[in-house]
Amino acid sequence: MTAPQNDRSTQHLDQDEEDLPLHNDNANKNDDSNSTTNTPPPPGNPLPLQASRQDLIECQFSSWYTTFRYLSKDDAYQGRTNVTIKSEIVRNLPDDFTRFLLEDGIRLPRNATRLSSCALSERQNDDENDDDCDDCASQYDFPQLTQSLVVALNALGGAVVPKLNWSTPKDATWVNEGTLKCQTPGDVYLLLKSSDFVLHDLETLQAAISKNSNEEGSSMRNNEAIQKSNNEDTITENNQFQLELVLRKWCNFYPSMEFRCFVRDNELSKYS
Amino acid sequence: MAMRLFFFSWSLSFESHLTSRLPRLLFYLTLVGISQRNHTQHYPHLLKDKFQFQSLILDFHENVICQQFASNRLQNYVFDVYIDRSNRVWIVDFNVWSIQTDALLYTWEELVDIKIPPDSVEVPTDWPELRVVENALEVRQDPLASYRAPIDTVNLASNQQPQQVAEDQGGGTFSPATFEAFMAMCQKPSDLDDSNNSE
Repeated sequence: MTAPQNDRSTQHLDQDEEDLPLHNDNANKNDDSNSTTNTPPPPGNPLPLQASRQDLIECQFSSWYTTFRYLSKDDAYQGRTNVTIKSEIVRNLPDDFTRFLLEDGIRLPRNATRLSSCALSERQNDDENDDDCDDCASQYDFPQLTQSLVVALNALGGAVVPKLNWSTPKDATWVNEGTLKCQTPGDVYLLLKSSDFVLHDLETLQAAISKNSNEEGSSMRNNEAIQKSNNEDTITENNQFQLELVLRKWCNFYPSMEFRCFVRDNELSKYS
Repeated sequence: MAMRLFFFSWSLSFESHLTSRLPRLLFYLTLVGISQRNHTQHYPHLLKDKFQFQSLILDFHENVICQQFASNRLQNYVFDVYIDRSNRVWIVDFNVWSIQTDALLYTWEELVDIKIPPDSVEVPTDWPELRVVENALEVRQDPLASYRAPIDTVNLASNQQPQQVAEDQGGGTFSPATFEAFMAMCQKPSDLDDSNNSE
């Protein structure tokens, strides 16, 4: 899922000039004078302003990946049982991982500061860590998660694209040499931490979980709800929404060969 | 009596078991539109091959995605695919049917209103439309452009002369020093303004 885009992202470049305030003022004046003759736009089908709960559940990475990871022999398509990119899902994330992502600043977790975009040698990096030791208390540390990332990176050939439940941090590629390709746990942390799309996923997740909690009559706070659902399987309903960190094998795609497809229920066919 | 009660309760539970297993509604899902994913670029070869790609995607949707995705419980959805050199289609991602998902070369107003040809009529071969950027003039603004930082800004933040930066970096990549200086500037814009004023 992509995070919110500008509504007018499909605007032509040359049309952008029309958005200058001067032009808008003129337009407003015209509108005022002709307000009586203004007709509302023709009624079309309503826009899907919000994704439904079911949409959110089914479009989560873990939901669809389990379906399409390996097709059964009966369902094989043109002899293929592999129809998607190999990926690893990391669950049971540390309690303070959400806090780490939401917090201001870009301090990377301890022992995960090596970035492939900054060609640091190991030795330099260690020195840097020593210098920083005054503030060590404020630095996050996710030894298990970092280890899981290393294992997943190795299993996926050494280069991955990270994402959370729905979004890929496409907006943050500028911190990683313009690419989503991650080769160290540090790259993964940095990309996720720099992305607004990732933030949007966390907000969606919080909203979905807190809605659950409210329905159950619980007064649990959002953050606590997220942490609790990450922690344990205590609330079965909330398990449908659990923060997941996904690593997908890096593939050197030609950007021209990717397509987005829109699917709608054909209501007429049901009755014909 | 006990026997009858038993059967009664058994048949009830069996029935509810069956209905819970079956999808409540079967959706007749139709692909209504396809768009080039990276819609900020013009790729001349897409124009030539778009009908071939459209039929590859249609077939893949019908035979792989349509029945299996979400066990046919979703009425609408959006998915991304990749077509490799051997014309194999790969699932990249699924997205929610909502304005939060970028409609790319379509608009959501259009997508909700696209008329689906009835079964009785022969569907034109160019339906659903695969939209591509037809020429270089039509190129649109990259929605991710607002997230980028110009390389000059990064270099300026390190207080180095451009030439020196180029020499230091060799290939034009970030050196750790320039990158850190830039991030510091991002964090404390007000401090930096003050120091500029005092100069």
